[in-house]
Amino acid sequence: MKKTVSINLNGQVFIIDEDAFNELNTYLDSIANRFANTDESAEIISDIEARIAELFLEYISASKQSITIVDVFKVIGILGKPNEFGDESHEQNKQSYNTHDEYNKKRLYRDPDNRIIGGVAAGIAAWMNIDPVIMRVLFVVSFFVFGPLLYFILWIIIPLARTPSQRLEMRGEEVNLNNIERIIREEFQQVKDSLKNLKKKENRRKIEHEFSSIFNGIARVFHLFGKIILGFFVAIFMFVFMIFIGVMTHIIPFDFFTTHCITTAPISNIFHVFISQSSSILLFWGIFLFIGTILLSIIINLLKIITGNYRRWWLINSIFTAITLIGLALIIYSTVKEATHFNISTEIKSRNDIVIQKNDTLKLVISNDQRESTQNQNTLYSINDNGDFSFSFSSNKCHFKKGNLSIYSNPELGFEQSKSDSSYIVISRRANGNNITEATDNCNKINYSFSINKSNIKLASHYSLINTKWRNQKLYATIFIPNGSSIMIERNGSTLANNLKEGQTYTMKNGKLE
Amino acid sequence: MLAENAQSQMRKGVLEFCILSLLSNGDMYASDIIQELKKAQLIVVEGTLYPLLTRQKNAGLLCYRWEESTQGPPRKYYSLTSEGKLYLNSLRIAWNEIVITVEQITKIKPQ
Repeated sequence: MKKTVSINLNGQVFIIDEDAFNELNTYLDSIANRFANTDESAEIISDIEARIAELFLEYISASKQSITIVDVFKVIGILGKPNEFGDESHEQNKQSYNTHDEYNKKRLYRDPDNRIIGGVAAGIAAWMNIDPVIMRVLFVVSFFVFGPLLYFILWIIIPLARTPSQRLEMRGEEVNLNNIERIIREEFQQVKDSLKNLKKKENRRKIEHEFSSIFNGIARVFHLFGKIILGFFVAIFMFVFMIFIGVMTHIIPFDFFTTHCITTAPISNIFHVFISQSSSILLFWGIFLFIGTILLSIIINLLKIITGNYRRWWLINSIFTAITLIGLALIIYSTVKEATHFNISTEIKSRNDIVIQKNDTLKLVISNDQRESTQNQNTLYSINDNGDFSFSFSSNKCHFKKGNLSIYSNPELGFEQSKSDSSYIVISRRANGNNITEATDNCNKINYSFSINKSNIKLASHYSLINTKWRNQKLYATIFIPNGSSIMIERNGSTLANNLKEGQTYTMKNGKLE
Repeated sequence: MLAENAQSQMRKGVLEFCILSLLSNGDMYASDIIQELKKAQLIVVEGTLYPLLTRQKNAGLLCYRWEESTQGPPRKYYSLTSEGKLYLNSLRIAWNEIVITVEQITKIKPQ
């Protein structure tokens, strides 16, 4: 049993098998293609159609009422393929025709007849020869993964089957291994049949035609594998894209209008350590647009290759390019703008004298900050239920608590020989800034607590930056001790001075502690 | 293969001349012309003819009329226009010249 189509050729109605129809259709398309650039196209095609009608009339009889694929091959043999027309003036139009390139080719269209939304599921179902319900269930199930995005992209990419021939192409023959095998077997049968009629000159061309179809079958298998591999890549890129979107929506501070420094998107707070609110918004959107459009266009182009849609979309392409460039511009602008905050480095030194008797021993207590002891040294990033979190980079530890940012870091502790007879501590604060004022301001925002009580010196193990950006702040605490004077380490609760043992007394001798 | 190619090139060259010549003997429809040309082995596939006819018609060398047919749809009968006849004459003269020259050259045998 075969499905038939009825066609009108030059006013004559023919009943034609579906496969024969597809063959004839591609043949006529190839002729139309060949003469596409000429004014005569329509006339030539109608003349040729008239001739085909004439030949078809000869083939049908009372016992054989429909046109078969063999009839169509005969007609093509008689009329010749467009590249055999030998018309010099069209020689430049080298779109050679190979019936089997297009033979039984099935194309992916959106199905307008069975559509629920865009006809994507129905179209794919027709393409894969499965029930549309299965496709729809798959789309719904994948709704929480990348179903909606995939659906939307496919909706854009897959053309709607408008004409009846496109609808036929849509249903066409199944593209699977069984089918390819069947086609090859059929082709062998046809070759065998025509070998019997080898003497007839016209048939020779047909045999060539059939041999080529065998190779074509093999080519189609490879083609199919290629598509499967491409499909695999699409899945990977899709996955990457979804992860990217997921991460970005956690990072992008969507609450534009809040004046608060810390946003509700927790991860974005990391960036607030370094850059300002406005720059971070620009930077995130830049990254989002730049990488997002690149990933999306990779996915779209892969899907275009798979579905055999080679049309170029000037509008969409240029919109994509524009968005990518805008993203890039935002990234560059915000990065450069933030980099200027590291323009200038300043240092502020303050000297604090220690008033003691000449032979008294200094007593040094390095207090242990609670914040450090509660924090695990090895974790880079930790977060609790309230959205408070902390992370560390280089020697800095950042804490977010109730929307406030504090950065803790260890000062560098040093001992030097005093040039005079007095002891003193120099606290040196360093920071970068856009200009001197800003850098100085950043220096002054370094909180460090220390106390001097007669001979007792108490140093905190950490300095802190509260609600300020990280601008390469550093703090040096240097204790100047006259030659011959001693210092006793009363308590060493931190890792600031690992080489100093608790309870030991050290004496300054020629610039060195011993 | 080479000879075959040369032959097809020659055929191509005279095809237009032959179509006009056939039509000068009386109006014909496309399939008649095809029959004659096939008999003379001037064309291999029928598709060659249609673009040629259309171009000659558009160049004003041919015109056509529809005629009812006893078997099947109406047929397109082509006939020469007066312009076509003039063109055919000039082609004939050119052809005769070529035939004479070619004969002269091919008849000369080296002594």
